[in-house]
Amino acid sequence: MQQQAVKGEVETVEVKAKLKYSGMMAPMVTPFTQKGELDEDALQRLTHFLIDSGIHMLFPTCTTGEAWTLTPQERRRVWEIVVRETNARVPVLAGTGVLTTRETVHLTKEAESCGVDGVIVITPYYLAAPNDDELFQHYATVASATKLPVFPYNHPIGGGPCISPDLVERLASIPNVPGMKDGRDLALTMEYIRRAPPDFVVWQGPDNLTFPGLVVGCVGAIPAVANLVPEVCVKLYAAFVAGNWAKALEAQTTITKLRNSLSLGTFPVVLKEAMAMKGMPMGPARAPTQPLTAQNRQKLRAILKATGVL
Amino acid sequence: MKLDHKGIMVPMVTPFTQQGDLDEPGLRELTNFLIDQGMHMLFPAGSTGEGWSLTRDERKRVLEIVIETANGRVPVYAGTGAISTRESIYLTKMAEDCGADAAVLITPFYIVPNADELYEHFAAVARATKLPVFPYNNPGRTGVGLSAAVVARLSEIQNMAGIKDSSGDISLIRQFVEKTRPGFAVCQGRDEMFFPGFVVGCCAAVAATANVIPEPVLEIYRAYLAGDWQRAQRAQSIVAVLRRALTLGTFPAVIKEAMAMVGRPAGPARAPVGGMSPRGREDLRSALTSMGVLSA
Repeated sequence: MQQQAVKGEVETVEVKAKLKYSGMMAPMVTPFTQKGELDEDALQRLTHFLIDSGIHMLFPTCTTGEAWTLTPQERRRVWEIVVRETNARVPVLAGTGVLTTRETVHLTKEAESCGVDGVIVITPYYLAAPNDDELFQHYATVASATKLPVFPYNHPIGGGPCISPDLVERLASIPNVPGMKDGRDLALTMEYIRRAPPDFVVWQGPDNLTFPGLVVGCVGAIPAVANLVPEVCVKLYAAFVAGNWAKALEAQTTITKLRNSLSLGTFPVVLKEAMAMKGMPMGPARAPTQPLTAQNRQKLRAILKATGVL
Repeated sequence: MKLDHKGIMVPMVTPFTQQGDLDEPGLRELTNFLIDQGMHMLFPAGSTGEGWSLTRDERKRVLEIVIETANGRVPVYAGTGAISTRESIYLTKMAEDCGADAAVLITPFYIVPNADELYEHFAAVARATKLPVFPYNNPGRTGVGLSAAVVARLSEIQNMAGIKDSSGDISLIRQFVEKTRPGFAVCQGRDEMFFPGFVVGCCAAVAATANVIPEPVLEIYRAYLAGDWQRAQRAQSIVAVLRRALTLGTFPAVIKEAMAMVGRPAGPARAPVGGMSPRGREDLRSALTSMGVLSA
């Protein structure tokens, strides 16, 4: 990795900070029973499966984990289980971002009391479309309420807020904001990395940009398909570190094909159905998300076969 | 209470104290004020009421206070929408237990359900309650749009009473009216289009601006009923000035600032929504002055 190119004391310190958060993070699906309740056994199995597959970090109660459907009590239960089962083998970063600063602070404190290693905080989505000053104050307030590292997560959807590069410079000045996740595009990711201090870590969100993200200086990535094919994601990262671009691109191509199949249904139901086909049932997605149509289920099976998942 | 869903419905702001807690006396005062002004329907815990910022307990308290204060004088339409069907049903049942007269639910947001999922979402809520149910379409905010075809299907459900639409698309609103059963209540949610909404068949206007300027909003409706288009246009143009000014800050901070300026403060909006900039506040004051609401 980058440590091979390190020259001098300062750069070594920077690289050390970055190493801590390097690699592939799995945004964990949340398993439900057929009745839609939290499936604690399946969550335990998933935690072990991902770590045993070589995943470097876990991210429960994220978008892929349908966090928007979880009550505060359910979120807490998910964190307790994942932290207990992980048993400090890899860092656990909890998703605690919701629409208001007040509730985000509350959830962050809850996550801290469960023993997570950090929190990832999505931009407040929907009605409050805050400006840069409001967003800065939001993250500064959350960061001041916890000792944990706080990672903002840029996820501009439906005309919602987008973290500007100017704002990244300001956020990076908060002592316990060591990095962020970008969920939009490569050009913006590059601008974040260019503008932030050298020790600020940036993770790439969209699955299709996992490899390109590493190439432009992300320390890691958070592909949703890591739930389904963690070994492919880990292989991509190892190939990148080893400088084997052809092998990394091959893994990326598989990831991209799988990611594109997720549009056969409403996110993230396709991922759950694919995991079931692979023998790792995670139950249904919570409504309004509905199961796949029979026709699309057939298409999904064909894609899984073509990519070697089945 | 017999509901006709006609007239002006006010999506009430939720007053907070400076610490950001629910201001219960402020909410009672606002309820009485709006009823005294002649508003036909109240709609607490909607988007204007920062419903997304309320915990379950706070939402319950808001509904209890408004229902108790209204005391049957006007019907109370409760905002009960959430992203998941599960939580939407929970909140709707809670509103029913509190004694609300109807429930208004924003479409799911953040995720993008398809047409069948949207249909099933609202159908499942309607099955879970006896209350009249109103889906709320606001694609500009949610990224999720209800088509005329889905609304037509939904209108076949017995307690699907109508729809609130803030798309700003008058032809879509007209389709809602044409493709649904007679009596299906189509409500215009875009303040600058109340008069156009009424003339294409809306029975109600859902007026965030009525928290600040109830009189011109009522005047649009009265003039419409009287067939006086000039009076209706005049009142509509006043309301439109305030609606445009709402973009001077993050929603709904401007409504709360304007209420403070007209002498009926409702406290701050909840963070991350911040206060207005001095420049924005000045522009808002000029807008209110130009409308004749504040003296120069």
